[in-house]
Amino acid sequence: MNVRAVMLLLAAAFTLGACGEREPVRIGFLGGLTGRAADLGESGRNGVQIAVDEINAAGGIHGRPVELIVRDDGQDATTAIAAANELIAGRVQGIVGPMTSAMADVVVPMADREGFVLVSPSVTARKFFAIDDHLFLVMSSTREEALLSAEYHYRESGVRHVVVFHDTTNRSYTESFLAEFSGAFQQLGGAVTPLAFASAPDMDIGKLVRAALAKRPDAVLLIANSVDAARFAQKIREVNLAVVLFAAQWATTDRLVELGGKAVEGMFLHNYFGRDSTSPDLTRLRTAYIQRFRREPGFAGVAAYDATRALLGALARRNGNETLRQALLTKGPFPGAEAPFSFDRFGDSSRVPRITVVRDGQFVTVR
Amino acid sequence: MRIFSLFDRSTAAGPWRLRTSLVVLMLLVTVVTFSVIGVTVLAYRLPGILAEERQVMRVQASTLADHFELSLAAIEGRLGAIAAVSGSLPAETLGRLLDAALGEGGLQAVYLLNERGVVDHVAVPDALAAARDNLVGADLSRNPLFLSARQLVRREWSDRYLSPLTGAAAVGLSIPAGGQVILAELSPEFAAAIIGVGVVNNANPLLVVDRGGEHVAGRNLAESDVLRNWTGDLGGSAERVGGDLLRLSFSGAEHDTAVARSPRLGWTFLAASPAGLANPRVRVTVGLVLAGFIGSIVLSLLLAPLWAARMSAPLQSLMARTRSLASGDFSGAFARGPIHEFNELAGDMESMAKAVEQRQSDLEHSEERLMQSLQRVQQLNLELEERVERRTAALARANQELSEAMATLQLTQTELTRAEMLASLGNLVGGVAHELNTPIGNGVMAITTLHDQIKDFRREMEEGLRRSTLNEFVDRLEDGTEIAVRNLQRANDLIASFKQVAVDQTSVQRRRFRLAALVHEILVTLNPTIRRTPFRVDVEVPEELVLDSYPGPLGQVLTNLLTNAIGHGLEGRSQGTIRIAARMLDEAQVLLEVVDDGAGIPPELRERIFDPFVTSKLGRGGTGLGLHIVWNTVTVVLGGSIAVDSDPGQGTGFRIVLPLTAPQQGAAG
Repeated sequence: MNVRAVMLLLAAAFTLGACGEREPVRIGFLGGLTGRAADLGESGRNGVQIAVDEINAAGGIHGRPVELIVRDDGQDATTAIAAANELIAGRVQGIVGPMTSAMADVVVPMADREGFVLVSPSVTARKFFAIDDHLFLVMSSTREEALLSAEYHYRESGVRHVVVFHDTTNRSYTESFLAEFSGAFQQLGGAVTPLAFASAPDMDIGKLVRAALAKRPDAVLLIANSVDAARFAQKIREVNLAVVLFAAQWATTDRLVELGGKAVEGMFLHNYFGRDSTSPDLTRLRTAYIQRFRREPGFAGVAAYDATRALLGALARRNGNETLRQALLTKGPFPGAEAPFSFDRFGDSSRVPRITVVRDGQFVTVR
Repeated sequence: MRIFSLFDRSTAAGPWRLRTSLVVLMLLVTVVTFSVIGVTVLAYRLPGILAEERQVMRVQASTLADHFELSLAAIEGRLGAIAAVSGSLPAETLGRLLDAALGEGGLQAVYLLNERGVVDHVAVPDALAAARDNLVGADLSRNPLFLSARQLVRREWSDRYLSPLTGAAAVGLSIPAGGQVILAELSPEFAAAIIGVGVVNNANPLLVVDRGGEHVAGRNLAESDVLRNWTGDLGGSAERVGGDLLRLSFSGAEHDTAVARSPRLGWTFLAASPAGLANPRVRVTVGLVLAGFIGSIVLSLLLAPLWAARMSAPLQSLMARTRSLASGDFSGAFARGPIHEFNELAGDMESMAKAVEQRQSDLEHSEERLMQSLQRVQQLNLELEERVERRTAALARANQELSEAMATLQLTQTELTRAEMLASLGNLVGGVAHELNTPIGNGVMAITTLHDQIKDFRREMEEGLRRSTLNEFVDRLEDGTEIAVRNLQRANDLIASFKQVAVDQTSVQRRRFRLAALVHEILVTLNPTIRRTPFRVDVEVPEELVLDSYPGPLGQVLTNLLTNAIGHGLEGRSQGTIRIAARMLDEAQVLLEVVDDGAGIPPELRERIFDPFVTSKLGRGGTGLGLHIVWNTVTVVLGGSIAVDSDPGQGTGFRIVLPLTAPQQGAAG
């Protein structure tokens, strides 16, 4: 009919944008992109971005492009909930994140309630392991890390008394690590003195450091983010060059070196992959990351990459009526940068933790 | 035009109401008109709008770049000046200068790093004064800005990096100052302020992105746009639109984006405007056109039915009047309305109504007359039926009688035929007997006389026999026996002839015979009858004529004809001649004529003369069958034909044509 033909003409004249593209597959990223631990979030986001771009370059998932929606949790509970809601409203299939256990406390119950999947690159608090929930973990828990640390420093470094600074703003993680470490170290025969602090730009680090050193420890363990760890290291080294410094994985980012300078030389850190690993995928990832973002991926970047590959792999491999969660549990192993990995029935995985030390501004694996 | 085919299709499916057609027509006209106009307007205007927008964006992007460069250059200048004289200033003064520089605004921290990268002095806002202690003496030797300042020995604006002060993302500037390095962090509010400068009150996204593709500052951006990394989009994979513009996605919507670069800062400045329908100006224009379109449709939907109703009202009243007319109501006038054609139609309808009325009354009259005629006809019909019945009955009776008469006649015919046969047979027997009578009588007489003479002789013998008596006796004996022989011979001949005739007449033996011989035999048979008359029979039949036929029937034919001639033709006359002649007509047929010069046959009889029961002597001994039998025999048995030629007073001639070879047949008549 004439009318309809004309209407079609009108419609055609109006559509300037492209249409008819295939509906994209949306995934979300939730992490701290502003605030003090932004380096973790940023590395995470970048790792996810690289994985998404890789998959899109290979044709997407069954021909559909992958779209990444990024949300900031600002390391704040309210913001995290709002961000998670926004991601759900954006109809994402699954979320990579959160990056910290503090945020996991808030978001995981939501995920279980609403039924969306979280694949976290860097949540390692013990309490999230061995639970049948919607949280998938790519790293081993704090227990493995703490055990290794305790043993290494007890035996190799000859440390007997450790003062532990732990950040109460990420309680879930720091207290988990503290508990595991204390348990292991004390079992070995060492002594642990925990010192809590609340991370803030204007906190009095000097005072905290003096309090710690007054206890005459052999070592100071920093369960803190990279910025705080760097500052603490600097303050400690100003007055004491002998005490052994080591930190939990949370601090193991490039920023630590940037901000810590010489103070962090010789500091022991944790990592889940060897920087000197020869896996070709890892090398490729590092090269791409450095080229694009002009810095090293760090454990967060690699873990986020692995988490994204798992999430997208499960999306690609699942059957028609399988949920993503079922696919993640059953359709492994998924390609990781260093090695393929899969999830156990609780959605946990395990990796071998390593001890690294800072030498000339580089992370070098020692165990 | 396809509009009209719409109506064609509608009539194919079923007729539309006038009102509906009018409404649809008006709607279509409105729609088509507005569509054409709308599309034209949009096609003309929209590209113009988009081109304007794009130009505005290009200007915005480059303006943004310029603003940033200028503002940052200002800060750079400020600090650069300090750096230039840093070598000759005492540390405290330097520190105060840096504090002052911070106070000028735009910076959130200024660090003074010594050769080893340790913070000698840091200027921070008063709000964060407590952090000062944390920072002074901090080792920033691994800080990328410090490193680049040392390596490149020039001022460098960083990409986004983590502030040692806040731990949050910030943008930094490093300025070599002799052996030292001044590090300044830009405050985010300042960046936002720069962007806000000179930007007209609009909602288009503006974005500044560093070399790593990270957000430095922006305006009207969604959170995800702030948080995400832009290297992919700017790295060449984005669509190019309108030459130098990119198609990027802001807040999930496609935007046309102008891109400007600052080589000094290494940053990219983006000014975007929604593409296509998302663009507010485009939307407004399209919205206006659509509103106009819909408005005109609504208007026409409202007005069209009214107008259609108005137009079709006179038609409705016309139709109503016509309907009442059709049901016989001739009263009432046809209303006039505003439409000329309908008025004409009304006038014509009125004339038609009058004519119809007239016709109607005429019809009624004719109907009455017709009714009457019909009744009359019915009446007549009844009478006719009665008459017919009577006639039929009469006819039936007559038929019955006729049938009976016919049967009787047939019986009579049979009887007559038999009678005729018997009669002819009787005649024949009579004739035979008569003929035989004479010779046999003579013979008897002669023998009787002789018997008596013998007796006399015996007596005389007793007296004494004399030669003269013996001679006399012998002479009388000789005479007497001679008479007897002669007569007996004659009787014998007659019987032979009669036998022949009888054989011939009673059998249907077919044989070859001479016609002349047959004729002769018949004449012999009839001689007694002929002898008593004064008539003469001439025979002119060639001896050599031979037929292969049925002599019996042929003889009968001749007999009849001769009998007729004697009995009818020459009756009462004192003299007459019957001529029997025969000759070859052609090589297969022979003509036989029996002609008398008698009274002739009257014309009225002549035609029917061969029909049965035709005679002039009905009641006086004529059966009327003779000639019929003749005709039958000639045509059926002998296979020939017979004709009569006669006039009153001129005599009668029968001409018979016979085939020399008669046809084969089973029975004779």
